[in-house]
Amino acid sequence: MPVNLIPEDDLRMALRPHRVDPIAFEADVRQRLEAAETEREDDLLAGLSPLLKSVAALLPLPFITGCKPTGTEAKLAPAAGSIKLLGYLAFPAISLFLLLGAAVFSIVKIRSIQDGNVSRLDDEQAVSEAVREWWQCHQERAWLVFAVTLTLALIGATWLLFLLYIVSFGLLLCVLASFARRGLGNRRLIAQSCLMALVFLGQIASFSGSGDQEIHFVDQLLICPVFLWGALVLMPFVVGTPRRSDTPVMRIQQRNSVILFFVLVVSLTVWFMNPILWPATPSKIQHYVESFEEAPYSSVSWGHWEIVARWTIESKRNPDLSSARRLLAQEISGEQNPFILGSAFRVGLVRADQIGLLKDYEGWRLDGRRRFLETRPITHLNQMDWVIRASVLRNDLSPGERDFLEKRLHATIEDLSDNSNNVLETALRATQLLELIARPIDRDRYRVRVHHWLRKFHCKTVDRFHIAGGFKPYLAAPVGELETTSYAVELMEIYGVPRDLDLNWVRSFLRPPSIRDSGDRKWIAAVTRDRLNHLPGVTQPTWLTVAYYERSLIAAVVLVGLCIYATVTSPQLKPHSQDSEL
Amino acid sequence: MDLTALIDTYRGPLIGLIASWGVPWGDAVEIAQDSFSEAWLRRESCRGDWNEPEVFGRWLRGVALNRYRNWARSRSRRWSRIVPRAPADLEGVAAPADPEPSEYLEALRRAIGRLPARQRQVVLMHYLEETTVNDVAALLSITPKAVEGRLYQARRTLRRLLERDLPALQMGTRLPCP
Repeated sequence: MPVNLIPEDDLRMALRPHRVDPIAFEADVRQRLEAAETEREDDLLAGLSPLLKSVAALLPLPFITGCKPTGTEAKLAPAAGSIKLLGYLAFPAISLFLLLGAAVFSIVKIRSIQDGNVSRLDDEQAVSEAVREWWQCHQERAWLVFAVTLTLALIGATWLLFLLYIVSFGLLLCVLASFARRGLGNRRLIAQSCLMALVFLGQIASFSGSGDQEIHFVDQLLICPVFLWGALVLMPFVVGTPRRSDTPVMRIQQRNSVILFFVLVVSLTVWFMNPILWPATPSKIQHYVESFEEAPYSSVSWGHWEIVARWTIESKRNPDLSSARRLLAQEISGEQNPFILGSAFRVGLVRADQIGLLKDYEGWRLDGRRRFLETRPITHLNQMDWVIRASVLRNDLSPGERDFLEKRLHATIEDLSDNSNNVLETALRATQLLELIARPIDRDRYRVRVHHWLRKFHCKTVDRFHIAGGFKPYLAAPVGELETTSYAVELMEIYGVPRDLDLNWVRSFLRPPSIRDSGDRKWIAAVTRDRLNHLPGVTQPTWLTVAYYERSLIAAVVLVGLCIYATVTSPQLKPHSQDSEL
Repeated sequence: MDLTALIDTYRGPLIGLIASWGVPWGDAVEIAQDSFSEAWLRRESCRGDWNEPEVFGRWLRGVALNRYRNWARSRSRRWSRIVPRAPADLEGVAAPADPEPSEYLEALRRAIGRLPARQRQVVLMHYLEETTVNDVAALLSITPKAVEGRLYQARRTLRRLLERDLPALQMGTRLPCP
């Protein structure tokens, strides 16, 4: 069957009104080509990818180029929305690294020139003007960046913060590298921008308490010296290039500021790297134990010393305890604090012949004997501890009394399930005392219960400026405590490690402190860490694990490396342009 | 190939192609000019030998498509800040007047607009400036046979559409005898 089709001539006729004049069309195309060629010659950013153009559009170009004429401004318009969004990723780095440095150094430079040679102000003011215009355009976003930076640091999300800056600075670095290939920008400008930002980040890292609520094996205050050393490395690029505009006085001031900054950085580094430069070695720990000549905080000091001293003795380092014995003799001749006596007995300082000097011994023993006849829990085991130990030392306990004492100690452990205070310490003391009276505990009987307590008192969420990962002395405590953590680790030596307890949290809590802890806490942390590392079946974290948990520190190092790379790869100042740059 | 030859080859089909995407004719010409300009400027970035008509045709279509997308995005932004104008102002920028105004041609144009996308595409590309089937095929990266097939389908569809729209008498005077 034949088919009727629309005639082709009709179609041509229908579309004829839309035909264009070929000559005019080609002329328009050629006109566009000429305009594009001209624009390309003038445009610094013509060779950049759309992403880098988007980043460059956010830069104050006169500042980057040191007032070199830039022809056309960067335009965001041709970039697609997703590219623009990616481009905005560089905004934090631009705000922090370039603008902070630009603003501060512009003001300093203008002031110094005002004092000296007024005729050189043009370029400096142009740079300052560029920065000021940039602030006018982007100040809300810039303040937002600073606020986010501070907030992330204060809430402890340093990893996120540094990741953001690494990505951001990586993008900025690509633009700066492209500028460098075109001979724009200079090493001094980039160096001073990076320097200011690193000092700013270093300050944030020093006071923010970053990483306290995360697992870390080294103190996160180390991030501060990393940034400051980065700034110190960049310092020669800023002040090391003498300019004709610099007067001898200015050069002396610059030299003095470098020396001052160097001293400051070294001091802070030594301070913050205290645990690395002066680690708690076994010999130092032994020295601490042997030099225990005073207990400024009475039973607390004795309690701290006892934890360290017991480790030294168990490690068979044979410490000389004469100083501690002298201190104990003073205590025996004086107040006879039951907690101090407990510590002394546990370390083995008290001799059998000294027990007669303990005025409350017979009273406590008689009282205790009455209580032994009951099968009730011992309500203040920590105070009774020394009495039981003294009884064993003097062999005052009959087999019958030992049986009753065993029942009471078991009742004490059973009673802990309903208790919320000093549970871990009491459980440890009861277990140790059962061992002492030759009635060793059936570990399997209490293992599940002790593991439950360990999980219950383990503290992984803390308030600001407290370190997470320790064990709490009582349930309502807001933060873990070093002594209780030590007791918990000793309990784990006896009952094993709970399966779902991440020991890296405990390691993190016991990490060598920089400035927050001082005195004997350093030694307690060290010996507890050693006990933890020697728990049966416990392996050391792998390098990969360490790298993962120390990602903030690594990120800081990478960021510093990027800054140094950006500076080193920037073009050197030419002699004739030295006067015109900032 | 020089620029003039390329423009002569692809001007008509490119404008037709862009118009087939729903762009008004005036804007389609602008986009086509921009596309020629950009494709020529960045021809070294083209994968393959750009002197080959098929290679340049594919490259030109890609550039035009990007230009069209930018135009579509900017149009949506423009619409948000549109300013009403007097009808007299709009007369100056209206489409060129039809030298032979007729109800049939108007109906045919409307019918072309209602064609399926692929058929409308080849009709506008082929008949706007008498472009060869081979050049249309090069720009679309399809075979000439496929272009011919679509053209045939389009003309048949157009006839059906026009039969519905126009009275039988008018159609009978226009259509050739079988």
